[in-house]
Amino acid sequence: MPEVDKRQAAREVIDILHEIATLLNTHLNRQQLSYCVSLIENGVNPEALAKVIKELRIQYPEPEEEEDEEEEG
Amino acid sequence: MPQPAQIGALTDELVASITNFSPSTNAQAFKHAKDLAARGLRGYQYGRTNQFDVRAKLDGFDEKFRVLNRDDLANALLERLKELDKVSTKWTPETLSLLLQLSDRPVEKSNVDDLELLKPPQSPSPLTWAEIIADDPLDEEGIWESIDYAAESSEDEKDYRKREKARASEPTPSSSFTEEDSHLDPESYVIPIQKDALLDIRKEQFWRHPAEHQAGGALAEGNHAAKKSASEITELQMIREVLFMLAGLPTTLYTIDTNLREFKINTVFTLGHVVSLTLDDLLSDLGGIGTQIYRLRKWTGNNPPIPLFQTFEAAVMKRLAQFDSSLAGLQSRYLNPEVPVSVSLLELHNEVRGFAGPILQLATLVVAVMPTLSENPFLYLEALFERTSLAQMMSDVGLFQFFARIFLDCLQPYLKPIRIWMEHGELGPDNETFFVFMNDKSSEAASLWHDRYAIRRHLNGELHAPNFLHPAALRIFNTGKSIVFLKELANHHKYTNIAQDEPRLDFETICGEAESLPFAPFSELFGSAFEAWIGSKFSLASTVLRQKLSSECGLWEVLDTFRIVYLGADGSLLQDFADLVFERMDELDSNWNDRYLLTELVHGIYGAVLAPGQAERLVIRRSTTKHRGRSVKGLSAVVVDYNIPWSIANIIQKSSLQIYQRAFGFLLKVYRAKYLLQKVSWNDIQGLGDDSLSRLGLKMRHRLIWSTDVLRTYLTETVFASSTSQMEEALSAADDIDAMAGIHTSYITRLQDLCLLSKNFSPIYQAIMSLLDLVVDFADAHSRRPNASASLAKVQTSQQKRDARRRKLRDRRRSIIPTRQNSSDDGSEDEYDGDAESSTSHDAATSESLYKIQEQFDRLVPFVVAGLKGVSRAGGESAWEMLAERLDWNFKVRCS
Repeated sequence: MPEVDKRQAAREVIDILHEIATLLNTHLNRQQLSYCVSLIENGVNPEALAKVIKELRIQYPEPEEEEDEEEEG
Repeated sequence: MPQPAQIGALTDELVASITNFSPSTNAQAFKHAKDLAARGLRGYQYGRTNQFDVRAKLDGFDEKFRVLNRDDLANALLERLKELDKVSTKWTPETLSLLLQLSDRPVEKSNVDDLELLKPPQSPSPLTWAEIIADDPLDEEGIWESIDYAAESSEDEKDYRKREKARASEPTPSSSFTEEDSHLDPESYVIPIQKDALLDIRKEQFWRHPAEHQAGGALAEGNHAAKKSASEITELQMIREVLFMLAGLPTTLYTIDTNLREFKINTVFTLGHVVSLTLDDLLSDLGGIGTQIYRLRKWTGNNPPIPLFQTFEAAVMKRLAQFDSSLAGLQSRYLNPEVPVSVSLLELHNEVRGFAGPILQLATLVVAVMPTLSENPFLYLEALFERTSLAQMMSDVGLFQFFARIFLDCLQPYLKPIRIWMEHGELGPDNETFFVFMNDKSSEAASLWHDRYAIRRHLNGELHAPNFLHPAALRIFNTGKSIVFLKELANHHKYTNIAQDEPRLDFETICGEAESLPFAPFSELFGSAFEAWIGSKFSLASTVLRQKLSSECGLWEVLDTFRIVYLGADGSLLQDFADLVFERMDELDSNWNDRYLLTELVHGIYGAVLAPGQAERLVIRRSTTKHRGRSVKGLSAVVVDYNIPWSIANIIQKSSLQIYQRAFGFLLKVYRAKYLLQKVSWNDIQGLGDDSLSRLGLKMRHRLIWSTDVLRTYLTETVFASSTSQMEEALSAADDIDAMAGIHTSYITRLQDLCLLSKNFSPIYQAIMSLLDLVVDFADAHSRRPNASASLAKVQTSQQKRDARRRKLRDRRRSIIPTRQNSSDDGSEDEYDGDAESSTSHDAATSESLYKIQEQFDRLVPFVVAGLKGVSRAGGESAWEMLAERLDWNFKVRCS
């Protein structure tokens, strides 16, 4: 089914992007990345988005988590 | 411009995700964050991302990684980018630029190993056949053998398991045996045993461990005493066993004794709440039913050779299947109860007895019938018929319908040869069960009807057919023969008898649709239905045959010919023929009965009168006769033969032709006598000279004429005319050829009797022949007087001489008569002393013969009369009485 394939394809892209994001150490988890991708696909400017994310991180630093991936912003 | 709503939603989510704030927990903070985000995102126009810029940046990163000795990172990144290129969308550059902007010192912080953790846990690979077979190879001993399910009971646990495995693995084909590396952990497939379920099942299988259910302690297996002690099972288990037993399956509760073929109860098992005696009774009753049904099942296993039996077996098997399905219904009631059902062996017993009733009766019928089937293959049909009638008399609707249907089912194959015989006149090859068989294949056409086919009978004369078919058997036989006959007539024209739809012989037609018993007895209903069935075929054949016989074969024409030729129906013709024959006889001595001339004569005379083509069939045959001389019997040398066509010959047999010929001979002799008498003229007698002699002569003439006339009238009117008209009437009303042949034969016999031609009447017949010979004598006596007028004068001159002569004659007469009497008894040799030339002796001879004639006449007529009267009193034919009376009148006249 094309629907499933699309989702399958989208998931693959997200996978790859997530890997790249990990490699580049962007501190984005998968969910956040998917929201970003959706926002970008809806026309949001990536620069602005990046700025917002950085601002939010500064403003509201995330609490300490056990997992290695997420650090305190 | 981006869509605000969607973006708003996504923004919320993103915010929530990043800040870990949800609207519910920290509303204000959340809102603040949201506003912040919204403000940031709204707005001013950004240019589109420059993807070459992005590319350059990525390349820069790559270079940087490699330079800084992070090749792994660089390679990983390169790989991912390559993959991404395959699936890149138009937003890819934007996304990449985002990521680049968010990147945070990847050189130091990133770790390739982290990638590993991103992978989701793999789902375990599906189980393959190779793995199963590696686990448990399919080469156990005997696993590929076919299983004999009936042989062992299920007591042997090992067999049970083996059977399970074999059943499971047998039907599936072996898949490819390629060995695969299973990188699986077998431990993870081990499911822990659920011990409780297993214990439950083990408990249900009570037959394996009867010892376990013992309330007391454990008992050794080989202990005989232990086996006899009872083990309890539940009622439901018992019901199941009983149902299986009834279905013919091996069970533990009942053991099958294969020699006697019966079920015996295994008394080990009891119910907890029932006394064993009652239980035994119940179980043995059910076992009895099961035994009979089991025997019936076993009987249906052998293949009988004849289709009749095969149908019977098929019918029985069908009923067994119905029984099995009702058993299955019972089973389902206990397995899947829709309404709560009480488990009761008694109830089961009642029900089983209810619907097993008909099957049990069928079983007893089979047992009764089977041994004698080779002798009388219809016994089972008759037995079924009887049972049906019996069931009807007992007002058992179910049983009646059951048996009626079986009977009609089994009847159908028996009707097939009947149908073929009645429609086509053909017999199947070597059909022993059909009662018609080809008797004489090469019989000639003239005896086709009577000889070619015959009915098969037993030694005691009984018909080889079921007893309910006996009444109709003759009609069936005749129908088939009619078809064969018609086929012969039409020669190559294919004639079949399928005119209209035949009425069906099945249950609905015979007994009606109603559920209740029909009022009329089954034998009547069946008889009438069968008659109708036969009648639909029979009537057509017989009518067509009769029509053909009358029209094409000319039956009536032949009878007419016989009437005219043999029986003298047209007296003038016969007179003509007779006159011609007599003239020849008198004039020619030796060759008067020349065949060809006489045949021509016959053709000439009768050809004008008879139907075209008939006269040519007449032929004069010369037959030797030992009657020489002038006796009437010499006429027997002339015999008129008729060439009967073969189809009519089936009705008018050739043997009857003889009677016709003899009757004709008789009539001809009478005609001869009359002819001769007519030749003796008045003057001849007058010329005798002697008054008393001439008176005597006249008297004799008169009486002889009267006798011959009486005889002729008797023959033509009384005998021929009436019998023939009767016969023709009956013949036109006859049903079929058998009836016609019968009518004709009885007619011929009657004719024979009435004409006094049969052996009983031979004395009387001979007497009459002698009487006719007397006529010849008389005629001779007078014809030997060619010099009558001459001698007359001589006589007239001397009256005294006449007186003396008369005295002399009387004297001589007295002396001669005794000798004449002796020698004239047989009447065949009438020697005349015609050598006496002298007129005196001539006269003497004449008067002598006259007196002789008178005497014999006086003797013969009373004899004939008495004989006829006696016979008519005994036999009853009034015609003889009439003849006797008339001859008597003639006789009594003499007084005057």
